[in-house]
Amino acid sequence: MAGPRDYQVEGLVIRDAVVGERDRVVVLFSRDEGKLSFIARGARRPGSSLGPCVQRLTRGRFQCVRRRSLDLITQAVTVESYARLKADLWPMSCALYLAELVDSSTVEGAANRRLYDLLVQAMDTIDQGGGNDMLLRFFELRLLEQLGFCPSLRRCVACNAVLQPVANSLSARQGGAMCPACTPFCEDALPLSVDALKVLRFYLANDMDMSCRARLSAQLAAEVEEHLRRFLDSILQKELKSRAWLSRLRAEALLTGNREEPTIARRPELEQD
Amino acid sequence: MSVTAEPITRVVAALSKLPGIGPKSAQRLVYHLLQSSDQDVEELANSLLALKGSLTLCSKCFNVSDSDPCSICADYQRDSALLCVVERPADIPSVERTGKYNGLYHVLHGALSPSRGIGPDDLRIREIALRVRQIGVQEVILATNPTVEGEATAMYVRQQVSPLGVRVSRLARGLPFGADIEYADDITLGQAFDSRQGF
Ligand SMILES: [Zn+2]
Ligand SMILES: [Zn+2]
Repeated sequence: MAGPRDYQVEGLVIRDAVVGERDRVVVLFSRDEGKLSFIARGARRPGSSLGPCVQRLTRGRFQCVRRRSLDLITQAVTVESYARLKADLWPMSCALYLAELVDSSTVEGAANRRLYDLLVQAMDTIDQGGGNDMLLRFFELRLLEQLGFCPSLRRCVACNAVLQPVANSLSARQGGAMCPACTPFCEDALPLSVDALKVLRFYLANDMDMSCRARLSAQLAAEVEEHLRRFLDSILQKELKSRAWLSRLRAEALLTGNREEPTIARRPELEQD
Repeated sequence: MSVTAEPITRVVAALSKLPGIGPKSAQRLVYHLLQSSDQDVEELANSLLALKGSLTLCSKCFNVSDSDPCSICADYQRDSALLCVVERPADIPSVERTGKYNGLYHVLHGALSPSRGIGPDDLRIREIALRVRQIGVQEVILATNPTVEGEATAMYVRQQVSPLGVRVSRLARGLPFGADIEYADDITLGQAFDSRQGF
């Protein structure tokens, strides 16, 4: 029987830590209540029914009990174990990065349903084999948007002039793009090519599927990545640890044997404004 | 002024640093020790001091041992064609208890954890390839925990040693996802060893 202190949440395990001899601390990003922390007792014991459900990158429904300290997870049902995603190093690492991104950018108990939906959709996409750099960049930009830090990409953040298709710049501190006239007066402005501006606008105007299909040259992808990295770092005020891991994997070329490098500039949907 | 004597708070603070021991349990242990005989307390203190002083890491397998090489690496009866890779020294006695394994070990001293910033250079991963070449290992058995971090570690090690032409296997999922090898019961772990598969 459910008592007055019992409740249910649905969410994705974004972090976990071992505690005690057999217990696990579980951090969920939940559908209705944002980030929440729990203790799952006995979850590290082989044969524990909770164990598989409270693994990181698992989505489930959790039966919880309110306590004065951390609430307990007493029962759980796995909704999606993301087994395919966990069977390969690159997709698993992409998913861990997104989980860390959400963990670092949210506080406990602040509900954000749209961010939850974005996260689940990204996990589903990675699980179905769509874990590429475009997805990561799309997610980073949309996360910024959900948190209220979407870069301004239509008008110069300094003088409000409509941005022209010329070499502009992007300033993380000012919160958006800047025209050539204002750029010299901004210390952290980084050159923003016309194509990179188009890509960022494209991600904001299109859904995940469409954005993942965009093909960027290596140079353009690196430019977009650098801009978003600077934006995230200035907002989160810290380096994400799993990003170094992704860079290492990429550098070791463990998984990138057949990476395509076509160009984006002539894709018609990117030209539209 | 604190109501607790300073020597007590000091021991409580020291014990609280141990895994699985909170301030309350630490306090309970301290009051238990106060009631124990002088001889018992002395023995505990001496054995703790001897622990660090006499132990070393085996330079071959990185197990914690009182000799280098450790007794397993020095044992010519053991099959050097098999190398079982584990996360922690405490996993070795668990595997030994199954009685199913007569090869050698390699202790990583942790698992890859991208979000905690623990990478391959923080673990004894590079040394695996060296050992494979040196002692003619034919099969590397990945016995990391069946957790996200243990899986990531296993997949990374596989990528590192596969080019060397050795067989790579992973303990079968007799072990439920989310469990710790150290706490596995002998039957479950034994079955997992019997049904290990190519990886
Ligand atoms: Zn301007
Ligand atoms: Zn040894």
